[in-house]
Amino acid sequence: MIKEIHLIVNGVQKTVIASEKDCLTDLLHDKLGLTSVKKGCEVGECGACAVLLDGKTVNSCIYPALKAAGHEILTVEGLEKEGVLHPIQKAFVEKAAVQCGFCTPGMILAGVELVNSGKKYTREQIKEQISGHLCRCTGYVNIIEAIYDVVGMD
Amino acid sequence: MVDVAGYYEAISVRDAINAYTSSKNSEYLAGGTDLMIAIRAGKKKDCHLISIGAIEELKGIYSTDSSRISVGAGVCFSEIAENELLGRVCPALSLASRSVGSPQIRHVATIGGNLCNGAVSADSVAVLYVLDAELEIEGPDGVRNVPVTQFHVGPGKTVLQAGEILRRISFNAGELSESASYYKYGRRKAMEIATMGCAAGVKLTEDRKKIETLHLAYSVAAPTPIRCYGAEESACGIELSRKAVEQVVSIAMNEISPRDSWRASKEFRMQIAWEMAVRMITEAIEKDGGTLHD
Repeated sequence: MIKEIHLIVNGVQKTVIASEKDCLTDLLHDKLGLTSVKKGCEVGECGACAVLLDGKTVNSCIYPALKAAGHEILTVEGLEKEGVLHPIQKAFVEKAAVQCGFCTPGMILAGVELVNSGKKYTREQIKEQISGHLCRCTGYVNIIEAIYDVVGMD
Repeated sequence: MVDVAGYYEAISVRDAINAYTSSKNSEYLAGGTDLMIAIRAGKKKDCHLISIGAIEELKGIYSTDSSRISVGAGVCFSEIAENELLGRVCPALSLASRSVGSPQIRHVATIGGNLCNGAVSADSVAVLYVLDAELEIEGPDGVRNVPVTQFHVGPGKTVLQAGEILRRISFNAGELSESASYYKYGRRKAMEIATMGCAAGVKLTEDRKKIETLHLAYSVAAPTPIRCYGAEESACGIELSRKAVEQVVSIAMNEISPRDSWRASKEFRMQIAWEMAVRMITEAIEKDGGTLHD
């Protein structure tokens, strides 16, 4: 069953053709070319596919594409504004929180969710926030420091 | 891409039930964090998804009168974890909700789906069993209420009939719900299926010197989640001493039947079952204003 669905992606109204066989990852990565949304495990464990849906992090690999109709999606592509990086992106660069980069989009969006809450967080809380994101390269420390740099309690 | 043959977004419970009964291989989709994984594993070939995630009747957390709390089956765990009312009347439920998966899972997974999936390890069950929660279920033949303690009938099996939808989960707010304490034992702090979960709630006597009522429940200590009614009965009227609590727990040890598996041996499970019950009963006593003496 092919359907035309409407959703907002990175602030822009989009009309996309999707079927019941598509997950949100397929829609975003394949149909809309948003390659920051990555297939890591496809079972909702690694967080590489995570996007912000109505402001909340979700694993797009286990989210049916048709379920996303009418919702608002934010990916890493929607963070940079007129050449200026989002504070989380900037912190990831400055704190060397990126190696292969595969987990990075999900990790960054996890950080963005915290920024958007307007609150400050401890390192323990940041660890809990990224507990659904696996990184095989960095050992997590620099990722936590990068996020702490932006939303940490001083 | 997933092996799904249809998708329908239901607008009400009645609408969902009608859609379910008019398709073949129907599966209700709430958050989907269990179902989508089962679909990826090839377990639900050609299923027709009936999405119930947007149905208003299944949402909301409120008190129906001064002490009856109603939680919509469609409420996600992150909402439960942050809900102020629940944080006051049953912080153990907030804690159990925060222990589910990861933030991404909690933003989507529902308490109803957690129960209806039927897993003995479900993070919400031990606390719901202690609360004697009541489940409001609607199906093709109408509405019925089932105590949560009668909901599970075997490993992964519940009393849900084809087409039935869990609508709401209710329980009484009071000393039992407020004192309820929960421990999820696992090898990781997140993204973990419980090796075992233990919940206990108490109501002490007015003078705070004896137990009037104890509720003690386990997940993953038997083929279904269980209450230890023998231990609970023996706890009525006991003084608040560590020795008395241990005597109660030793009775509970005869009521559970944890198994050997790759996750943990039976001996290990018995050891943690003991330790968790002692700790959770102690914590519940202290939360209800009692003091344990030696």
